[in-house]
Amino acid sequence: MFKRILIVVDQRQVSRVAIKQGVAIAAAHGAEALFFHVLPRYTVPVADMPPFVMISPEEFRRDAHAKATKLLTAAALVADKAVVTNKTATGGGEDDAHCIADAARQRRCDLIVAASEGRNALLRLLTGSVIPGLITVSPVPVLVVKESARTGSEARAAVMPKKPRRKAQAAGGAPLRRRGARA
Amino acid sequence: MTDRPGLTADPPDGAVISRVMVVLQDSDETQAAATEGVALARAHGAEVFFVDIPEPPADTLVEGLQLSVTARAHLIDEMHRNAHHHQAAALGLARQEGVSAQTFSVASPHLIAQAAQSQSCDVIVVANTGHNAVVRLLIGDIVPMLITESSVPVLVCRAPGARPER
Repeated sequence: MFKRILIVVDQRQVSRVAIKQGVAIAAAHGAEALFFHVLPRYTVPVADMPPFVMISPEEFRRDAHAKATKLLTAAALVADKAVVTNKTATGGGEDDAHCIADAARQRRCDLIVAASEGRNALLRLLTGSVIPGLITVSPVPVLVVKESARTGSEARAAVMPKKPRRKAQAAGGAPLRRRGARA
Repeated sequence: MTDRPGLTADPPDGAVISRVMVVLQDSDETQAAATEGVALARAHGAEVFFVDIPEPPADTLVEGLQLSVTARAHLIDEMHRNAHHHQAAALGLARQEGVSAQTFSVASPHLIAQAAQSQSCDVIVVANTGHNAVVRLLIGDIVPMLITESSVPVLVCRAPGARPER
């Protein structure tokens, strides 16, 4: 169904969930994974206060590229482990969501996987989350995964050893009932 | 699951999709969600749960005047008729693709995330109505609500023609 999946990689912890889920879907569909990282923009410090640390645009760019390479290499390792064909790419622009959507369009991806932190919708907008913008501009479906993501299959697997626990509860509850009967 | 091409002996977590929940809304874009959900279910050999929210207008006001009882009843009737229409179209699509499907309704959109968890669904598929992020928030769109409340991944589909290509 999916041929090429764009997975948004960033430095947040929750991004790992997107990598894991995206690679899993790519593996299930025999698709290629494209790990994409949006490079941060260099902003000139505001002039009414002297900056603590002055960093030149070149230095900033070099640093951003180094960080991106580190993140994308780690993501590619996850895909390699699952035997998923993968590529990595970086991009930059005025708006992160447009940048990701454009990359998906140019590289003919048919799904975008992005991670969301467990915030509410208003905070996502105010903190500059890429999710709301991506949903608006993306030409392809967007899969939003979360840190607490526990798929139905995992949930089913987790409830399997429920019976012994119930027995333990019943055993623990018995003296209570007896005490109540005496009173 | 037997039909998982490309999976190795060490499958990553979350690869199995055995239940797909598709949210049917009273809009033209909902067909995109049904199509995407059914295609996903077909690819994974999964079953589909179509869920709709036949929400009766709680206090239907038009320019500050409450509608008469008959008008409200008429609105509810129409809402149920539309819900049945979307359900029938979605079920027909699933049948056509050979995917096992069932429908159910929830009383409030806030219950969808809970329903997905209680039904052990692996993904929720919903259509984007084509508004921008701020408007989605203001009109109480279901997409931000689902992303916030759901613990399972949410697949937001873009309806064809919902927004002009850049």
